[in-house]
Amino acid sequence: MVKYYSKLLYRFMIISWHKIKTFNFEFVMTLVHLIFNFSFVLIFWYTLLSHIQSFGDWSFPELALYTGITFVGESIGGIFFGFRDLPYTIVQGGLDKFLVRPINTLFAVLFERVSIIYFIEELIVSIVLIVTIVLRYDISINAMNVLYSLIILVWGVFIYNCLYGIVTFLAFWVGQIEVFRSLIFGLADSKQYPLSIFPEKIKLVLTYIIPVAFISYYPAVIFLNKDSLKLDFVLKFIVFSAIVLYLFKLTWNMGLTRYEANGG
Amino acid sequence: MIKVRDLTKLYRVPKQNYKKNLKNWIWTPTEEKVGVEGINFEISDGEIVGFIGQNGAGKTTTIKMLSGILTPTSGIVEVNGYIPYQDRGKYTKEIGVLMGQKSILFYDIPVIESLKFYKDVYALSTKEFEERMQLLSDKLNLESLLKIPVRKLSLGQRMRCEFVASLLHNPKILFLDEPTLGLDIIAKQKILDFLTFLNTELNTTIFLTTHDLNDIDRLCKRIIILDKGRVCYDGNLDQIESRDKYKIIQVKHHEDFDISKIIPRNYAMSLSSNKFESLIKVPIDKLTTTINNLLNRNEIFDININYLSLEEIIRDMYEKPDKEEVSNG
Repeated sequence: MVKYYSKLLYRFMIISWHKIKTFNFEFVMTLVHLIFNFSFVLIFWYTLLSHIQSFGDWSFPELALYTGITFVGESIGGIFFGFRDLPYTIVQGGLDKFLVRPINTLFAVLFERVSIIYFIEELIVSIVLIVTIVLRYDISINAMNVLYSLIILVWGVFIYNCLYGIVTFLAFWVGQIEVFRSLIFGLADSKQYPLSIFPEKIKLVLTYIIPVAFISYYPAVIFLNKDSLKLDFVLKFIVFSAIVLYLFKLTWNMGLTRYEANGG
Repeated sequence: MIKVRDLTKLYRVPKQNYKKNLKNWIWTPTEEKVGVEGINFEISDGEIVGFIGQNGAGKTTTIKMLSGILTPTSGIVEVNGYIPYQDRGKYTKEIGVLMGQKSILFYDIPVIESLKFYKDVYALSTKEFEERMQLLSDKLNLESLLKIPVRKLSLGQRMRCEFVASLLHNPKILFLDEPTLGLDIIAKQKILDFLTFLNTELNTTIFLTTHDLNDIDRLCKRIIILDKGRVCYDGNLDQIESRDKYKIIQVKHHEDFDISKIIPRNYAMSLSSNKFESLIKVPIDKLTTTINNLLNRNEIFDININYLSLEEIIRDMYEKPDKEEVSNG
């Protein structure tokens, strides 16, 4: 099974590469776009911090590192990019070709459109940024913290996107769902800012309802050794994850029975 | 072996008439619409069956339930011992599905990359893939197309590639939904010859829907006709009752000759008429009388006698006010 899907993943990467190579200009522009994105956020923090002493208890190097980690999370989340267009695919009957083939339909739909190369590009640029900041500002880190930070980030991105998937699957029932989805996940924009600057109630929402904090804040504070993980908190998140995964599977399976395979 | 019993699929569609209020404006009320209702048939291994019906008759709905895309509302569908919508993992290895209106190829990249993708989807070894490619490529003249991006192909070329992608794994059963849609006569001939090869040489069971009844006539021995979601005929093509009862006479005549004035209205029927040619349908026992009658007219200079085409038979079936379910199965 692992070998089968690894092969398919490799095949999707080749397809993604071919697509990018077809339009070279677009490929170069995605890299430029990525560097612009990074630069704007860093310029924002730099400008802000040149007017005030610190932002919460965050200094500029910490915020720059925080940004790097957020972008790593975003690049990992790129795997789930296919959710973006899934409502349209469902309404147009685009699942047909995978439903009649021995491949996991969700896996195929997610990777069919994703520009894997772009997200690898983003991952590499983010890592380069993090390493540069750590070296430039002489930030002390230890290997265990980096490892914990990475585990939380990967798991957080996974759970966050499962939640995003659950809302996306409502398209099986109601058709276009994009506006409702962006209404809920608009909160994700707050991942650019450290959770510690928000009031307590908002912190709870960003941790346990839309777990944005797990795709930026918690990985960053652990990486920087600004905080440590508490056992009860980890347990709560495991329970939360289990509920999300159960609902994810349930809505997908129920959704498929509602699928109407329009067109054709 | 395909077994279908009392198969029904209902869709939820927006209601046409409903009370206008805020709630209904946000959540438009829906009602059930029949896709297919209580259909029954069985198909044996190695058969080619043509599935015919008007737009909206339920052909595509049926093929989508048979291939596991749609979950039936009620009834039984079983193919080779599998329940398609429940056993997708194993079942889909045994079937090939091609939908004329939906491409399975990746649009911007060369055809060969899509085919390699499906090689991995069906977990074929390189040797199996090469052998299949050799066979399919020879039959469908694919060699020159492999390195061209799909978006640069003509419809006929693309359809040939779609066929190869759908048949790489040598499926036992092939579900085809409008496979010749929009193809020119040469491309269509290639596809039909290829389907005949698959059936006769490889014993592939083929279940085919099409609007082009000539395809059915050339390919299928058995047809199933659907009307408003119900089977209204299931049997051999040759055994359609009216096929042996009537003949079509094609009459070539001088300009603006009105043939309806000379044919007896109690048994002959004018099907179409233009300046120089008319078509009339007559019962077989009145054929000689009618021909004699026509030969006596100086305005007529040529006569051809033809079988009733499948298209005319089907049109008659749909135009009958009270259709009864017939099964010669």
